[in-house]
Amino acid sequence: MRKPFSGKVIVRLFSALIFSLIFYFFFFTPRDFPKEDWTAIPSPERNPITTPGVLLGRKLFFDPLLSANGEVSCASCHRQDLAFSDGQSLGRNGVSGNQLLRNAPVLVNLAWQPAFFWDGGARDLESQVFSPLTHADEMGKDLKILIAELNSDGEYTKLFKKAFQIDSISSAYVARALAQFERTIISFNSSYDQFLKGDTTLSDLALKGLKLYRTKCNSCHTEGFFTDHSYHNNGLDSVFNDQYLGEKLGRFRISRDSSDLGKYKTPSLRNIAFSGPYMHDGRFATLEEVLEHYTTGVMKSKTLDSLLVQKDGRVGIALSEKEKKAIIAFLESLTDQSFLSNPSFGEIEVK
Amino acid sequence: MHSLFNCPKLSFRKLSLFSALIFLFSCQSEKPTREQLWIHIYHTINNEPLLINDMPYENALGQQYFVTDLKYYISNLTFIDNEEQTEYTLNESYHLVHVVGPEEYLIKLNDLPVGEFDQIRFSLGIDSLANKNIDQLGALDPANEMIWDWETGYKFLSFNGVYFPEQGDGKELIFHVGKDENYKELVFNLDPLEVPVLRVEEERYYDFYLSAHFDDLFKNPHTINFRTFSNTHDDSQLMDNFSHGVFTLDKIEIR
Ligand code: HEC
Ligand code: HEC
Repeated sequence: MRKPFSGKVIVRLFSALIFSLIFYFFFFTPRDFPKEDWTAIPSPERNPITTPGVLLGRKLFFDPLLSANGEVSCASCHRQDLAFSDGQSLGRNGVSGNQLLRNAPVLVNLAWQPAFFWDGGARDLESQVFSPLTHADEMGKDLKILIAELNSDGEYTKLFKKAFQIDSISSAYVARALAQFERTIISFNSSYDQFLKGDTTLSDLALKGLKLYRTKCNSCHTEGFFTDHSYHNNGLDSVFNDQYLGEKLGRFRISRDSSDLGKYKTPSLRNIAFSGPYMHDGRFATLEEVLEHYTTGVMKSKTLDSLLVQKDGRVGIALSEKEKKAIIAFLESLTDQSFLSNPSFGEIEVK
Repeated sequence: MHSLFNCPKLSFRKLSLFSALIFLFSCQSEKPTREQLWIHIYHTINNEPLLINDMPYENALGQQYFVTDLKYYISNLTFIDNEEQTEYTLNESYHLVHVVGPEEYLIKLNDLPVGEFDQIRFSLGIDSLANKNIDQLGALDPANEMIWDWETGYKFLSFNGVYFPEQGDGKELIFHVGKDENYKELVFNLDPLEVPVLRVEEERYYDFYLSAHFDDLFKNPHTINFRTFSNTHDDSQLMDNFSHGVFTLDKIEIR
């Protein structure tokens, strides 16, 4: 029979374990995340992330072949230097040149997002792809033509075969490749993140802003992803009309539940200093205007979020001018320079 | 003058092509010449063959309309044996019906279950599991243009037409219906047919003849008034109508 472990051995094993845990957490910081180990990023079973899939998706993201006139790519409205938004309140970068009815949102940490679009109408990233591809004011592409073009392109047939082991490309695989790339668009290395890890300090003003943020904003724009992944009415309007195709109705358009009128997805505030104009219709050009809205501009309606109604019945969030400045200083610490310039999200030549 | 003998090489080629063809045909005649089940669907309006972009039809309210495009999904074909209380649903059974002319529409299927069945069931639309995402293949490929660009899911029925009021311009009819709650199952008893019990065996061939009476889409049980209702994406009344009187199973043939 073997001797049981002596107490000394157990202590040694234990300290080795502690040491390796410390080592692991010290070196495995979100900065390195995700490397080529894609398993840390959630993805649906039917579309696991692979390196060839990500590279193909990245090539497709920048390829104007995906549009009717050969001039518009996903990147036309989702620019990396603007945290993958387009810098316009309501853009006109699509094939028709018509003004869109909603603001182009940032693309960041999408792998953890449960639904897409301002009203959550798209249930996953794969399904979402078909909207810009086919919408007459975005890319307006006939999918049958796209598939014929891709199948007659020697380079693409090779890349799709490598990524998905298929001999004939169909639209589902275009969506899957794009979704794989989009899931790798990750930002967790802002000054704020570095501050939490003790790698850097924030200015006193930003620290004051952080404190205020935690009491006034955090229940919706929850730290971590800086969104609660839910839908709220933050008081932009008091009436909701169906003037267009329901874009002004908020989450109601999808749920058909009148308690969802005027509610929109809480946007993440990561890289917010770079992603203006703000709100689903891009109505505010600056963060100052956004904070002015929360203090003096909130409008009453049946679905206004109760967090925006104060104890005395007044609407909005009470903030002094100084406090607004502090919150903005904090919001600026959510900028992730290494994300905005990360070369692995840029245009790519894959062969 | 051309003579076969002037060109021995070519004639040899012709000959070999010919024999290859004979070989091919002789092989084929031993194998099944067709799929095991053909579902024939005849589309009618007011008992006339349904024509696209051709003639004005009249609904129950006497309103005149054209049909400009008509597509819908039939899915999950199931063979039911009530005696044994068993049923068998075909795999990947999603079929896009695109009505383009007065001819019958054919759905061709293989891999039928062997057994004896007294009911047939199929569904209109796409079940909630398959309706969750749209990066799919075959009948569910988004290239078939049965998807929306703002909400994930399939159009179960896509009816496009034009309504001509007595006065004024024509008005587009856009009846695109989807959403999980509008998925409908249709069950057909076989006992009124010549084959009250359908015996499915291997090496035999089956033909189901269905009629789809599209006038019922606008009247049975809900009367649709084009003047007040011309555009929808989730209307349950239309889907009620679609699953009521529209389809009949007229005949089953076995060979
Ligand atoms: C013409 C501009 C334009 C183009 C081109 C475009 N988008 Fe967008 N994108 C938008 C707008 C506007 C929205 C917001 C729409 C809404 O919420 O109703 C959006 C939303 C999104 C979202 C949802 C993000 C979220 O957080 O909800 C994703 C993902 C996305 N786009 C990816 C893509 C991909 C992939 C492509 C290329 C296939 C693409 N976009 C092409 C303008 C564009
Ligand atoms: C009740 C939940 C809630 C609270 C509390 C809240 N927000 Fe928002 N916020 C939202 C929603 C929802 C939107 C999107 C609204 C829309 O576009 O219709 C939004 C949008 C924003 C935007 C625009 C983001 C973009 O990408 O366009 C900023 C910036 C913002 N909020 C900052 C703040 C700050 C700062 C606070 C605290 C002072 C705060 N919010 C408090 C729910 C909330």
